[in-house]
Formats: sequence, structure tokens, C-alpha cells
Amino acid sequence: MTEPLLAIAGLNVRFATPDGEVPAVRDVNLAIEPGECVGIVGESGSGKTQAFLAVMGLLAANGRASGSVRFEGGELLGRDRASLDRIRGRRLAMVFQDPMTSLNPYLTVSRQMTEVLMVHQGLDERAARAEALRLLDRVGIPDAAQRFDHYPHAYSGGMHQRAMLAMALLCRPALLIADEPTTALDVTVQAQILALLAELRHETNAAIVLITHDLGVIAGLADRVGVMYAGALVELGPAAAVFANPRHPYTRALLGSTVRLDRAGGDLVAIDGQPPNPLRLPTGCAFHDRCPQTFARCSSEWPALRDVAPARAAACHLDSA
Amino acid sequence: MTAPLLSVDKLDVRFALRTRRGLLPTWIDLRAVDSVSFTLGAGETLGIVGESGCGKSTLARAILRLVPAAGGRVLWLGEDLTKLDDDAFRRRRRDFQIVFQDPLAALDPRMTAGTIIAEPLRTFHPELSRAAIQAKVAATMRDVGLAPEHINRYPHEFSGGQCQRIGIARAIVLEPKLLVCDEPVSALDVSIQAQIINLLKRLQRERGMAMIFISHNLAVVRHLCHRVLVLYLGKAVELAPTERLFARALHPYTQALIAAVPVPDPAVERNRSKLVLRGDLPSSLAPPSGCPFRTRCPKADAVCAQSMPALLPVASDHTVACHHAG
Repeated sequence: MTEPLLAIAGLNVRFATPDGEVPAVRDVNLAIEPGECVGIVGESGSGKTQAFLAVMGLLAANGRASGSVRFEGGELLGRDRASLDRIRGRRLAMVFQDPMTSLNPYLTVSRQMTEVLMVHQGLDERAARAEALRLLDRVGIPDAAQRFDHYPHAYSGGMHQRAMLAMALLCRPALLIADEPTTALDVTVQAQILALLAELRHETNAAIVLITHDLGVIAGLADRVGVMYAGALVELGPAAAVFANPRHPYTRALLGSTVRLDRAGGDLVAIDGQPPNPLRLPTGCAFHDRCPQTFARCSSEWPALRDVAPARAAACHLDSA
Repeated sequence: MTAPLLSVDKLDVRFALRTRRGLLPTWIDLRAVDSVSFTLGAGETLGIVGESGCGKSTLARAILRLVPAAGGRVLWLGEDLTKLDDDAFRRRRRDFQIVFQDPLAALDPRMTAGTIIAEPLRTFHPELSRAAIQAKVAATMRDVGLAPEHINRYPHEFSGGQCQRIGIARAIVLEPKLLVCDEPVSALDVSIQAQIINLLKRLQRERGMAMIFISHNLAVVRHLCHRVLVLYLGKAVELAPTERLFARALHPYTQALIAAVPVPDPAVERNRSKLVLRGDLPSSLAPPSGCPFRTRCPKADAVCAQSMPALLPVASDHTVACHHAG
């Protein structure tokens, strides 16, 4: 059997803080195949961003990742920066939530884009400019040729995110990690960027990890969905199945508390309480004190993510009987 | 029909911006709100929607006189608020309160939850005893789902959702007739959003307050509001009862806005017809001639560049400003 494109095994991320060690990501296992789109959904503090910053080797200085992250057959954790840099930007790329702060304000867009191609692919400046401009045009920057040599401040929020996507795709990465790529944008621009991501996916065949708090963003694009809560992956399965028939009570609660545009009125099924403070995680299942179906075992034993049906996994004691 | 609680009539808000054209600095007018009119009945919830910069927050702030109006009238029970002197206006203020987007930034970090919620009471009811204020604060805390034993805690000791409950408690403690909510759930996590939406819905039902609910999230607006006003670059482009708007929006911008909101259900989302708008919102400093939406509108033609379409009724309760509607 061939190895998946990305294989995350037993990933833990801990941050050293003055108040003690904070477990941000807890024992995450996830394999991503070439060309597939996996949505990772969770609320703030669920560890969804930190897990993939760890994959990229971009954790803050007080963060430590342990476990294993294999990408295209090689281990990423523990690599030195120089060898990571040969992979990042070329095979593995990431776009971030806030597009306005992701481009260097002191350099023209053309300079930032051509540099990537010259460093990673050894193109000369002329060829790099031509290729960078082709991509900037492809991602839908209006009058790309005129805007190519502008500084980022002349771009709107939506144009920033388009330019970031163009930059991430310059070297045809095998995996694109998009962290809340549309959260800072207006809905009409969000719709543009999501449509663009769907097109680019089919053109480039890159696998995409789409990290978001918005179940709607995932619904249109993801083949599979992973749900994170308090640092752990609590459910994983095909998008259609997870939305239609969630197996974990938290997934069910999250869907129940999401306002849907296609439904009028009625009360939302809100989840009581709030996500736990990672410094003081509840014992056992981290969701047990908000879970409507909790029972004795939930407060004493942490349920591991296990297969509950073909291609589906959940971390819940209800499903282990 | 009874007279409306609030009647906004051709309200204008302008901001003068200093720019440099050539050698000399000049002032240009930014029309943040451009001749917007609507009415609001007692107990009614009006949603105001639009993208960032469309003027939705400025409109609400102008109604509450948090920013000055450049023209038009704001009639509260028949009395023009824009004409009142400061003292007279301050006496009316108790009837309309506001809840802000960023719950933590809206609360004074050096005041306890109890002091924050009690402040409007002490301002408008100096005759109340300490015990009476304390009792009212505790009752209001319970009503918004806060534990009264947390009365002496400071804002940083509460979560974002709880801070928003404090903001709501402060706003309703005087039992206002109108509550303005400016993106009250946008900064909150999904599971907390649902709690606050349910809370606002219950308070509105139980207390019969009128509400102006400002949001960029159309799903939330559909859930909470009786009628919806759609703004684009400071202009009202459509106004209709909520269910009518979602069933048959007539303005192409409203249609695009509704189509752009993803539905959290792959079975539905993947089969929706998508009307994806091209381009970005134009700058309000240099709005397009004629209809402000024409630069992004799939139906735009020559007439749209020439004249701004008037907001005209297509039914007794549905108005739209488009040359090509219907």
C-alpha cells in the first residue's frame, strides 16, 4: 500500500506559558491523500490552526510539537529550517486568515512573487515574472498586468487573498493549507474566493486542507470533514455523511447551533457553557460537561478516535459499545 | 394603523475627509448614509444588512445621535430627535439603547459587571436606593443568563459570550422601547452565537421591544428579523418583510448577497445556483454614477449609468431601487 500524501500520527502540540503547560493539540491522527480536500472545523481554541502550524513548522517559539508528521514519505517534525524551506513554498504551502498582513508591505507584489520562483525553481527573472503574472491573472486580479508592480496597499482585501493564493500556488504544491481564507472577507468576496479555490483545485490537483469555524464554507468544497474540540479530533468522515448523520454529540450540537440561511425561524439548539480552558481540561472526554448524552464513563476515561463505520471515525464512548 | 415608534425620513450622514488634490488640500464629502428612509413599529425587529462600508452601523449611530445627521429627520413617537437640544435628547435616551459588536471592548475593564449594569439606572433613576438598584441588577443578570453571584467580577474574568450578556443586560436594564444591536454575535464562536441569538429572540418576545439588528450575516437576520433593509454604498436598495425577501428578492444585489451565503449542508450547498458577483465594492469616495451597484451588476445597462433608480413600491410592504426589477 502506498503512503498517503500527509500522514499525521500522534501529534501533540504544547505551549509553555507562565501559567503552566497548555496542551493545544492532543493526539491527532489524520491521513490526507493526493488531490483530496479535507475540511477541519472547530471553534476558537480547538487546536485546528495550531495542528497545521505544527505541520508547517511554524509554531510560536514557546510551542513544541511531538509525534510524527510525514509528508511525501519524509518526516517533517524535527527538521532544520533549511531543509524545511526546501519543502515549504514548493511542495507545501499555506495561506492565512488575514490577507492584509500576509504580504510584505515594503515590496511590490511582483517582487514577492518572482522571488519565490527564482529561489525555489531557479527561474531567471524574466521567466519568473512571466509565470507570476500568468498566475496573478489566473486568480482573477483585474488588470493584473497593471497591478503586478503595485505595492500591496493598493490591493483590496479580496485581491490580497487572491494574490496570496497565486503565491501559494506558484510552485504547484502538492498540499495547500488554507487557514480561514475567507473569514476576513465580505460574503460576496468570500463566494468569489471559494469558487476560485474549487477551480484551482481541479486545475492543479493539489490536496487542500481547509481550516474554518464556518460549517457552510466546508459544505461546498470538502470531500472529508474533521471536527476538532479542545485540541482533539473528535469526528472524521466523508462530508456528506458527517453533515447528514453526525456521530459525535459535539458535531451534532455544532450543526444544531448553526443558523441556516435556508431555514426560517425556530429556536436554535444552543450548546450550554463554553469550550474548556486548555489549562483546565475536564477529566475524561473534554466535551462531557456540555454533552446532553454524557454518562459515568465520560468523566473518567478519554475516548480515543476510533472507526465507527466504513470511512468514519468518532471519539465518543456512545459509539464504542 | 397606529403611528410607528420610529420613523427615519431621508436621513443623510456625511463625513468630510481631507485629501490632497494637486497642491492644495481639499475637503471631500463621503456620503456614508444617503437619504435613507424607513419606519419601525413597536415590537418589530428590522434587520439592516450590507457589506462592510455600506453604512449600516453609521445609519444606526445617526439614529441614536452617536454621529450627527447632515440632513433628514428621525421621528421618535412623532418628535424629531435631530432637532432636540442635548438636555432634551438625553432624557429620551433611556428609551433606546445599543449593544456593540466587540463585547470586551464595549465594557470598561475597571468596572465590575454589577457597576456596568447599574450605571444606566444610577444615571436615570438617582432616586433609587442601593438595595433597589442591587435587586434590579441581579434580576437583569438572571434574565440574560448570568449568575448574580458574579456581580463583583471584572470583564476580563468573563468569556466573550458572557461579556456580550453583560452588554445586553446594561442595554435592557432601563427597559428601553428600542434596542439597537450592531453585529452582536459576529465576534463570537458558533456555539456561543446560538446562545446569544436565542437570548435576543426571547427578550424581544417577552419584553416587546423594537429592535434594529445590524448584521452582515443574512442567515442570522432571517432567523431574527421581521423586515430587512438592504444597503449598498449608503443607499437603501431594497426593503421587504423577511420571508418575502428570501422568497423573491428583486434587487440583483440582494439576490447576490443571499446566494453568497454558504449553507452548512453539502446536499443543499452543492446544488445551489450561484450568482457570484465580480469585483469589489467601489470606494464610497468615488461612487459610480447612476445606480451605485451597476459596476458589479449582471443586469446593468446604459440607463443604470445615467440615473439612480428611485426606491419604489412593488407591493404595499416591498420597495426596491432598480431599473430592472420585476
